[in-house]
Amino acid sequence: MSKSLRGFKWLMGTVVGVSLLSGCGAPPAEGESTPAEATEQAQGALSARVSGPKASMAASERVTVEVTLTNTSSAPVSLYKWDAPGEGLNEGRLSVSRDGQAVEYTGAHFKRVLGRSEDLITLAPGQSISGPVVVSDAYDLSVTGTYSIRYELEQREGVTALSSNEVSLFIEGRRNSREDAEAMRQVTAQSLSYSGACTSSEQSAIATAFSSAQTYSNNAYSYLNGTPSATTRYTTWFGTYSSTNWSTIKTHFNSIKNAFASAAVVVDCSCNESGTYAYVYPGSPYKIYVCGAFWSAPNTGTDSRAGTLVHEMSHFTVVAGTDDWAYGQSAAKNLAKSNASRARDNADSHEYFAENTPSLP
Amino acid sequence: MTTPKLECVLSVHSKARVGESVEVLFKLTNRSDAPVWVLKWQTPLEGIMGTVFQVTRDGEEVPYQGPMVKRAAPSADSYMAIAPGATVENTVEVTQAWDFKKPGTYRITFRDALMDVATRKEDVPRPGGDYKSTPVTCAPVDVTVAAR
Ligand SMILES: [Zn+2]
Repeated sequence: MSKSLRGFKWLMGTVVGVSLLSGCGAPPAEGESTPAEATEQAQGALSARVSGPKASMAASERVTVEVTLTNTSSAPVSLYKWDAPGEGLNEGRLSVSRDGQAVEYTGAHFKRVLGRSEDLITLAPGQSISGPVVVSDAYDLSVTGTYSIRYELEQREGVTALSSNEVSLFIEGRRNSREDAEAMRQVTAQSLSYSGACTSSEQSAIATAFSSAQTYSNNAYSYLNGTPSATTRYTTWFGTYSSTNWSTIKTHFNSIKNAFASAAVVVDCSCNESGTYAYVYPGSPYKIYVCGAFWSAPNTGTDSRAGTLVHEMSHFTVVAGTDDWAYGQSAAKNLAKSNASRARDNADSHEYFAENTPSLP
Repeated sequence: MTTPKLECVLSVHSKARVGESVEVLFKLTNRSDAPVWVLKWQTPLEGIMGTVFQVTRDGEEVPYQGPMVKRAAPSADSYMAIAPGATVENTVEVTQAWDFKKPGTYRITFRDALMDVATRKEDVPRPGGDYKSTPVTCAPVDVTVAAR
């Protein structure tokens, strides 16, 4: 996503609202037609073009199409980034059929927070954006055949409905990603699966990090299962020692290690934000979305991939229900000193305790 | 160095019906005589990327359902400058992140601190993650949600 959007200005500002999408204040279009008609035509009009990489795709190949959106109106048009082309947190923007039969969307569904300015992109009159849209992993391509693909957008505030040209691709049938996930689960005997078009190298990096996260949480629990006392490792991250406080953290790590041992964890790769390691929805266990910074992190150590998985796992309400009160080692240490009860509720404090880098007694 | 004086105000329409959106306006005013730079994380200035509010319905905690995000080190863009006497604000819609589907009186409370407030431009972004958490008090706001 970020690649395809480079060079485009994201709406920033202090006043945010859905009104940004309404196209209010757009100047009337020039032309022969009456102003009323012209305005109706001009507001929110985008055109879309789809092209395929080549005419036929083998079962081993990832299928993407290239989509270009152009603002054909005389006023700026804003749309949500997940409606725009690019490999972001997108869903179901293509219409896919095989032999005249609609093909089922099998990809992820997202819970959106609407009305955030940073989720909007604006196209100036005449401006285009283009980028790939993933077909494999998101639509059922289990049957070999000729697939017809178009890009569609229903009408929404400030953007008129649009439908692109159609491309035809011969696609060799492949197992869909869900079946692959099931197969993977049986092979590895651990409940880890993937969504959001993780590549095979991403999947193997996640599996490695997951296994290290299991080790981290098992070790943290074993440590807390020892004799409770005001150890340096405990007080550095969780502040004031008491046997009750210690047992709260022990309960947290018991839940975290059990979840890593047996819960059906799904790791999603659709987020590419470089300023973000990962995120979860705390009421939706056990799906963890990993983002750009996750891939730049080491597998273990401070702010590592394994530690990030521990952090995220601790957030789920059914696990430890932690919050984010302080980010980073320095702020987490300060929190332990200034507000121990919040440190016991802080996800990064759990991560750093588990990573234990540098090692504390 | 003095602690910067920041005034925080929340506002919301006091009445809504089940199924309607609930928009909360967050305003932060710099009451000191020098500029400040406020880290937008965990504030409505960046939208709802975490538990920016605590929400209760008739005194019972309403669980947060939005995203919780672990971030990499902040950039200068993660901060918002506020000139002396100036106000920054943002409106967020909260029914996507907290369940407002039951009638009742909902109380919306902002966190009691900003994660980092810098008083010198050269501290933006704060080096080494050495943030200066700064307390701030916004009066909570109530919205009464009626059945349809
Ligand atoms: Zn977090």
